[in-house]
Amino acid sequence: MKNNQALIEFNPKLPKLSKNEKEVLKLLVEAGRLIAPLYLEQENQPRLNKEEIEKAAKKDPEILSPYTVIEKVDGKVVSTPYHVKYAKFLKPIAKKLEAAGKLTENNQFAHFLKLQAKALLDGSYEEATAVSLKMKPYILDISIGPIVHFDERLFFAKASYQCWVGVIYEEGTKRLNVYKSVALSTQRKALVKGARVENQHNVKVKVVNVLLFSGFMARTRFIGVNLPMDLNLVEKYGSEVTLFENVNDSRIEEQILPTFNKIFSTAFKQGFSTEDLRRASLRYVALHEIAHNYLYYKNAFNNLQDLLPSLYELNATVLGMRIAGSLLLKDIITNKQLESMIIAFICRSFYLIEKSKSSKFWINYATGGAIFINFMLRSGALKKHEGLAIPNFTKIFISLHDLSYALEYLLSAGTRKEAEVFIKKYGYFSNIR
Amino acid sequence: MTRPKNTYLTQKGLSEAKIELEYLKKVKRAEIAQRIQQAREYGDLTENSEYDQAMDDQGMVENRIAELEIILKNPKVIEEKNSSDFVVIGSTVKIEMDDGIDEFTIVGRVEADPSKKRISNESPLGSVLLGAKKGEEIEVTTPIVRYKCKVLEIK
Repeated sequence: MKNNQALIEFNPKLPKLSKNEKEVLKLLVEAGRLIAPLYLEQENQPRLNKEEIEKAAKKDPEILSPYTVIEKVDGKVVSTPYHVKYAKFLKPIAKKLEAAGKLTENNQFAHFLKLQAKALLDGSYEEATAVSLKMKPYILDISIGPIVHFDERLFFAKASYQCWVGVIYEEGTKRLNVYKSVALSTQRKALVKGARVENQHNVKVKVVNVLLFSGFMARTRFIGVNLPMDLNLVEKYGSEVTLFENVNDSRIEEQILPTFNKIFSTAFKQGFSTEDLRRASLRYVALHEIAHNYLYYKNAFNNLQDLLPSLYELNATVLGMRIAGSLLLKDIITNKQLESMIIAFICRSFYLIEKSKSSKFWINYATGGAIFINFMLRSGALKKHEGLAIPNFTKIFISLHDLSYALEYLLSAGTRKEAEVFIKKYGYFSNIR
Repeated sequence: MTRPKNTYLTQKGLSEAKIELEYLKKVKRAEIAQRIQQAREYGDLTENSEYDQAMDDQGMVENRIAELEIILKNPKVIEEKNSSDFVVIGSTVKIEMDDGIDEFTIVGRVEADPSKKRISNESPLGSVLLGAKKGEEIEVTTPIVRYKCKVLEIK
């Protein structure tokens, strides 16, 4: 694995590819590499404060678009579309995509690459998104361009340039499809009727072995995503869950295992192997991403603003664990696997809380983790003794329901004030670090 | 040695299991053996992804053959005549559980495929539903999970 701040290249075990597929893949990787300097350029852009942006947005609503750069020019706040501001970076990337589009023998993929190249140059992202969500499964996989995300506590989200290039892992995709079918075919009721985008029938899933993460994806090294985040696009075209099988391995080595070894007793640790945790980490993320599709509450963004990300992400994890409970009852997973998922998430939470000491980048996820840990500590489902964590899985599962209701209430009908009170009550780090 | 448990199968499930076993033994085994042979010819087995993949596939096929042979030793064929008074193997049930409405058919373990709404009679949920009546509320538990489940409809 080659790694720098904005580019990571992996060397996964791949299925047999045709000569044409290998050549196309090479071009996609080359395009992906070019995203890294563009992302670093974005990162170095001076930031304006919330008040300045809010004031300027009253005159120019484009300032709030996720795809504009906001700058001060001669004392005035102005917005420039990404594709204009970063044109010099984007042209060579688009060329690579166009070349790959001409080369590939898969017509749908060719069409998608052509549209994606166009979108980078003229900002027509919706068209490319629509085509990618309608495409039939193909062995090569790329996502390239700006994506909306929550990486900071602004009151709105700006998109960051990113790319992943990978090859579909067929067996993993089959398994993920089983989870999806079972999880999303249950008609899970919205907490407030009519408040949610009902997208559950229109969700695609895939598992990918990644060759390259660039830009935002290299920074986050997510092992799963559910895109798009824009509710209007979800409503029109559906959504897609992507799981990055091999990226999970480095998360296990660098985050989950060291935390696991630190916070649990020797006797407890003997009950879980590295393989249990590796699979559990992928499994809980898979169900987290699938669960997002039950949480598209239409007013959540407006109501909760900057406080939404930590609550939204945690709610998806907690709901994902509840869904795991129903998978267990249907013999799709075992008790041990559900326990391992809970352990993997506890480890990830402790890791991020520790990490947030030195970097604010993960603050939303760390806050979500702190809410989970404190909620479990208060309910007695998790105990601390001489610096070690002692979980009671039965109690954790019961408490998960209470936490899930509290979070889903906030997403569906809560006010920002209520969210603030909730986060103040549970989202503190002082007793966890 | 303990006697293997009876496996419940519909007549259709039994035929499918027999066909699958025959296919795996007569067609798939030979196909994979040929792939392994071809991959060996590429040389250097340590960096040979085709060889690794073929070996993985061979393991999966052999496991499935072993599983089907055990199943077909003691099959118990169930009649596909359903009762709407209470839940039996073969019933399609509509239930309410954990804030959701779910509908599935209870089948023998071999035919279970939750992604196609076929739940095993040996699963925690399938086993407690057997014998339940319409409107009845039952509790399904495992060492971690405990849910109340209401039977809304039996088809």
